[in-house]
This record gives sequence, structure tokens and C-alpha cells, in this order.
Amino acid sequence: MVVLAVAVACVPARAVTYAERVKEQVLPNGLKILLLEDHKAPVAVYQIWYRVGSRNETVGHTGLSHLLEHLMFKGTDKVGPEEYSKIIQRNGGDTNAFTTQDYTTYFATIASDRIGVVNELEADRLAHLHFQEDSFTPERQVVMEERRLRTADNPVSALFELINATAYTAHPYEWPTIGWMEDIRQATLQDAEQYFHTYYRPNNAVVIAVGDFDSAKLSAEIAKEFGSIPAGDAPPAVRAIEPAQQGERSVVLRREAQLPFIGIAYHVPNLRSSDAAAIEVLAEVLSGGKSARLYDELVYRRRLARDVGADSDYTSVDPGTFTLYAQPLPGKKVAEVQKALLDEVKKIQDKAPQARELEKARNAIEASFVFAQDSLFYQGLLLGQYEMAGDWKLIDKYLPAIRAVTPEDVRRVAASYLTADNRTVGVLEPLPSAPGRVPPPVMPPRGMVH
Amino acid sequence: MRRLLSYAALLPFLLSAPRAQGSTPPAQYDRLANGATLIVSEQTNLPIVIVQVTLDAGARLDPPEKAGLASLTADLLTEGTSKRSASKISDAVDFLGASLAAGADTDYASVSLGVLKKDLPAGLDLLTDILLHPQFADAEIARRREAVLAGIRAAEDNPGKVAQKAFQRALFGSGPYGHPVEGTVESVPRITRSDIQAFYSRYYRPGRAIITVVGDVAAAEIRAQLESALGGWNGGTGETFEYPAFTTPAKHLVTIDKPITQANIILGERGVARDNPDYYAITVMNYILGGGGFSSRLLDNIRTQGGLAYSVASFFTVNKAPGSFQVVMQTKSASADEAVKRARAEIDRIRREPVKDEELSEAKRYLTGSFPLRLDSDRKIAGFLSQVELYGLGRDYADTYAQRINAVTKDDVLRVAEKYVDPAQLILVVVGDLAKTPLSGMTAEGGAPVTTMQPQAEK
Repeated sequence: MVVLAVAVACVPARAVTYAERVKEQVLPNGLKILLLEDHKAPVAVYQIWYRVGSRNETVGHTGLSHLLEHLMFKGTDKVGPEEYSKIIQRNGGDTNAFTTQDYTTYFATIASDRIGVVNELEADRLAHLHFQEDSFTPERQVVMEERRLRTADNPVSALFELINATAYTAHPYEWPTIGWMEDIRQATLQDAEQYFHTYYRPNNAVVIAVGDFDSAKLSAEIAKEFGSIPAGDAPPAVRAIEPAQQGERSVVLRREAQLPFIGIAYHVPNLRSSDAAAIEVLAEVLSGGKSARLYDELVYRRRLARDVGADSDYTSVDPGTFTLYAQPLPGKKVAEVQKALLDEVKKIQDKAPQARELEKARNAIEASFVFAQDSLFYQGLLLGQYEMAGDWKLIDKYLPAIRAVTPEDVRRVAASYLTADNRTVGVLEPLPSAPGRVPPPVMPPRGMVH
Repeated sequence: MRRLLSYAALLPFLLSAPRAQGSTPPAQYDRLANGATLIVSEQTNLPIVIVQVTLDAGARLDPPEKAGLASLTADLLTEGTSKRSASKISDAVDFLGASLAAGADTDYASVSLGVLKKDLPAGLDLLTDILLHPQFADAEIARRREAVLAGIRAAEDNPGKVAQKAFQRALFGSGPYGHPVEGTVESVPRITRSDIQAFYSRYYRPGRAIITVVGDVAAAEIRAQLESALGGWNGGTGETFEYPAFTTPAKHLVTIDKPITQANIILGERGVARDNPDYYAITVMNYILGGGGFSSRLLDNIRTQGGLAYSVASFFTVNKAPGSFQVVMQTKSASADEAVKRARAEIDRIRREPVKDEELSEAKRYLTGSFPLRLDSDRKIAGFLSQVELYGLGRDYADTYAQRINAVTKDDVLRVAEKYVDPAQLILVVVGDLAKTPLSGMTAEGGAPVTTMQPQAEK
């Protein structure tokens, strides 16, 4: 009761819920449609989300979801290879796609009177995608170049790839979204085609549009283009569950680099857990700005690190990780910086944050929620992420859950999850520059772009 | 190759060109009593306000031996004022859930605030305090200097950045665009407190400032608030900047050895200034050559057909003074030579033969049809209005842009390609594992990871 009253008092001036603004519909073939009108500019964002990512892959076949994302631009009966992008561009639109552990998303931003073009192209490639060796082979090479660019030649990305591979033992979050190099090299057209038919079904997809359109009209257009595409069998469920970690793990990446880097990953629950909101607030208290604990202590006061931060994984489909990271300043010892990071963890485990510190974290989270609505794309992204993780309506539960977090909750989740036994510590140890050669290990950021 | 069918049956929309939006955001232009330009665009969709102050105080003004001065000066604005410590500032900003950032680019410095409408007075108080009363305390200078130097070092692990710095240096030498905005390991330690204070007093003047406000606030209201808050800020415009004459570099091959898997390649030369009347023809030409993503020749040739690169693009950086033209790509070491050859072939082709009608019309349709996308958020509107004013593009720019693009002919495209992309002037930068990177007709010298510049052999 008291909590509720406080919450109401805190509601920002314009607190229209997503549930009030979004129109949801499900076609008979299972395609879900979420439409959010926003008329501030004559522009719309159209996104189609498929519930497939590296989470759905298997050992030896990693990177298939992302490879397929590239192949989705290789044409249909009516559209030539890479013509998808050209058609969107000719209509004044921008388009791209990204793959994550959990999903694959295709999107276009376009003048709102052109949104029908995107809709037609998306339905067309879902129904009639071509798989041909002559466009497959160069595209597989392109993806290998993408991996070299993002991971092989990026020491920090390579470190995080290794940390994930160490933190997970039984769950597919262990491998990188872009896949291991040798798996990409050996992927076949047949693998991709079979994967497509398993996962690219209307009943495994969600269309999301945000912007300046009439929902009733757009909804009818989507039904018209997608309605005749038959539903498929439900894709196989991912059964893997990562067992509780029993003991600290550590991993070292030794390669040529200028500065060391430290990453620490802890297994944490996702938004399905009642602890998730407190974990979000914990991340904000630790690294929500220059006045937050990690920056203030490690960068500003003690001048140990060049960069520092904390990240939580609120909307992952399966439980993800809470990550701490720091890049030591030149001349600072890794051990000293690592200890300083862990000291901050210990401090918050021992003593709950002050009320004002919590209020600051809450203010920042609430304001960023409002600022996010400045972007059409980001609003679509938010809807999609929550929908992939369970239900888009959970967005409206986010701020109330954040407001209900107490200082003691923050201390408690830090004490329960940020434990030594639950962590994987990864360190990038620079080898001095030498003309000698270095084994190229590897990582991608969470989102892979087409 | 697959046959390309007509899309007309599938996509009836495609027969008509995208609607060219008359899309200039509503804005009020004003001049404050102290001479600062004020632009206000009231947008009531969200309870937020963006305030962006753009100052003619960019890195081009750095004295050659003090590269990084403009950047360090801007960085230090948020690190303490006469009444607030650095920690007080960051705590106040974070408590509002606001953003307050300052930084420099080549042509300008900027200070920007993003704040909830209800916190606008508190946000403005912080913004005006850091703009008018920075303290430049020695301890803060030491901190920032150390952070900048560490950042420069960390950037050595980003081969794309390494290539970019080497290219700028090869092209512009000691000119205003020749050094990185953040400075170098040699120059940053040389910057003193008095350099910073002198730079601030010379260039942080109201006559050099464009203040752009976008969001849920009335023009009259914000004007009154700013007049009062900035009342003590005086000093007119100060000196104007004269660009030194550009020295054409000798033809160059720049190679930097790093034990990595890809060759990071830049092929480029001097470009044009933003006020060049050929800007629009150049924009169309570059879209067709390498600016238009999957619609561009370079990407089609090198990525789609060749499978040689994930990312390949060409662009012109347009500044107050002529910037650069660049083709940027990355490919596995062994493919470097082939990728460069393909890029050179496309450059030769666009200079030799007229583009196809279809290419011209696609470029125009994208460039005009995508204009509204540049204005679909408050943040983008703030950036757009500031840039239009800074580069003097005309307050009706959004309305006239389509007309200027549509006026470009095939002859114009050929003419600007010949005029502004000169194969004889191209500088080739390659950062990669040189022992494994073939570069035909050129001698690439291995060795330590430092720039080795040498004249490029004739092909």
C-alpha cells in the first residue's frame, strides 16, 4: 500500500503505459503483430523478430543463426540477391539486421508512406527465400571477414568470448553469436536451408512497427501479406539449463595488446526472477555515471583504471551474466585493479547503499526510460526484447519494480549473486609488440549486424 | 548471376519516387544580447529538453606543437568550476538522470545537456556554470591528461583507428586537420594549464556560440532564462581563423605492421569543404561509388561479388576547410592486393564513364527520400539545426535539399568524379601483418609498429 502510494507520486508527467499505446494481434498462422503509433515525424520503423539465435545452435554448428541472417538478403523468386536493401534505399529507407544469443531481427526505418514496401519484402522472403551456392559461398567469406574484424583483431572482444566460453558449461550461451571460425568455414548451404525451415515460421516471428502510421490499416496490410504463409511445427525447445557454478573460474588470454583488461562474469537470473529489478539497480549504483561507485573510486579517486563498468542482462531469454570490467591505466597492476573492483563488490555486500544513492540510481533509470522514447527504433527494440524474453507487457512492470527496490534488496542481491564461487574472472595479458606472430583467438558484441 | 525481375508487380509503390518532405523543423532564430546565436525548436512529444552549445573552438585551432589542446579544454569543462568540484558536478547530473557532456571535434567544440523538462532550471544552472566558470584545476588537468594518454594507447589496439590517424597525418601533415583531435603521446604532455586557460579565453566567446534548444520548452521562456544565465558571458567573437595553405603530399604508401588477421586499408586523398558548390553532385557521385551501402559499386564489387570484406565504403569528410575523400575497408591479409585493385578499378570507372540512369535515380531517391529520417527525434533535430547553422547551409536547408540533389545530372557526376577523385593523388594506408599482405607494385617494409612512409612505386 505504502509502496504503491510512493510509486504513484513518482510517476513522471507523461506516464502512458506501453499496454495503452501498443496494439497487439496474432494471426491464425501464429504471427504476432505489435503496433505502436508515434506521430512526431513522418517516419516509421518496421522490425521482424525471429525467435532464433546462437542459443538454438549446437556444437560444431555455431554461427548458423547469424550466417542465415546474411543469407536472408540473397533474394527470392521476385527479388534478386542484395536487392532487398536496394529496394528499401530507393524508397528512402535504411535497413539492417542483427543477431544475438536469443533472436534475429531485421529492420527498416523509412518514410511512413513507404512502410508497405518493407512489409511486402519481409513476407516475401519468409515465404520464398532462395538458397543458392553461388551467393552462399562469397557470403560465408564475408561472415568470416566480419569475425576477423570484430573478434580476431579486437583483443577485448576476444577476451569476452573466452569469458563466456568459461562461464557456461552446459548452455549454448557458451559460444559466440557469430560462431567459431571453423564452424563458419564448414557451414553448408544445406545446413542454412534446413535451419531456415526449422525456425523461420510465422509462428516463430513477431512483427513490430513504431511510428507514423494508422494501426488498423497497417495491421490489415500485414495480415494480407503474411496471412497465407503456413504455420510450421513449433521449433525444438532449448532444454539446456546451466548448473549452478561451484567455484571460481579464471581464464587468461595472452596476446599482443597495449593494455590489459579484466572482465568478471557472475551468473544472475533474468527478468523472470523477483531479484532482477534489484540487480538492475545494483548495476546502476555501481556504474550508472561518473558519480557512481566504480568510476568515482577506480577512475577518479584512485586513478587505477582508464575505463570501468558493470552490466546486467535483464532481458536475456535464459539467465545471463552480470559483468564487471576494468581497463587498468598504463603502469597499474592487474591484481591491484582487480582487487579494487572486488573491494567495491564487498562494500556493497556488507552495507546497503544510502537512500539518496538509491534515489539517484532510480532517477537515472526513470529518466533514461523517458529519453528512450525519443527514438522510434529504440521503442521497437524495447518491445522486441521484452517479447523475446517472455512478454512485451512486462515493460510496464519495469519502473514499478525498480521503484520498489530497497537499499537492503541491493545489498542482498550483491551478497547472493556476486560471490567468488559464482564468478569467472578473465584477464587479457598483453604480450609485448613483436614481429613474432600471435595465435588469433577470438568475440563479437552481442548484436551482429548484417 | 541471378536474374533481376521487375519489382513492379510485387511492389506497386516503387514506381513512384518517395515523397520529398518539406521538412524543415519549426525553429525560432534569435541573437542573445551577448552575441550568441539562439535556435529554439519546440517539440512537445516528450517531457525532455536538449540544449546543445556549439562553439568555434575545435581542434583545428590547436597550435601544431600542442595537438589535443581544444579537446583537453573541452573535456575539463565538466571537471570543476569555481563553485562546484568535479564530483559535485557528476553527482548533480547523475541525480537528475540527465546527461551533460563536453568535447571537441575538428571544427568545433560542443557542450550538450539532456534533461527532463521538470529539471530544466537545474540542468541550465549546471550547463552555464561549466561553460562560464571552468576551474581547470591542476589536479584535474593531470587526471585528464593521464586518461587521454591511456586512451591514445588503448586505441593502438583498434587497427581501423591506427589506419585513420596515419592517413590524416600523411594527407594533412602539420595542417589543422593533420593531428588527432585528442592529440598525440608527444603533444599532450606539453599542454599546460596556461595553454588551456589561454585557449578558453580566446575561443569560448558568445559570438562564436550557437545554442540550440529542442524539446518541451517555449522559445520566449528559454530565451529569457538564457539571457539571464549567460548575462555575464561577454567577449564578442574574437579572432577569425585563417587556414594555412594546403601542401599537397607526395604520393604515399603508408604501411604499419601489426600481428593481426586483416589488412585495414584506406585509399584516399584531399576532399572538399562543406561550402563547395559541387557538394550535392559529389554526394550523389559518392553514393553510387561507395556511399550507398548495398546500392554502391564498391560494396557490390568487393563484398557481394568478391566476398572479400564485411565493410567497404567511400565517403567525403566535409569540414569548414577541405577534408578528405576515403575508401575504407578491411580484408584478410592475403586479399589486400585484390581488394585495393578492385577499389582502384571502381574509382577509374566512375571517372571514365557516365553512371547509368538507374544508378542516378536510385541515388537521388535515397538521398531525398531519407531526409525525414534525419529529423525523427529531438536529439537528431538538435544536431541538424546546429550543423546547418555552423556551416551556413541556410535556414531553409531541409526544404531546398531535395531540389539541389534532384538538379544533379549524369554529366555533373562524371565531372565531379574527374575533378575531385584523382587517382594520381591517392594515398594508400595499410595496417596489418605485412609479411602476409601482398601489395603489388609497391614495396611494403616490415618492422616495428610505427608508421613507415615511403614513396609509392609507379604501377
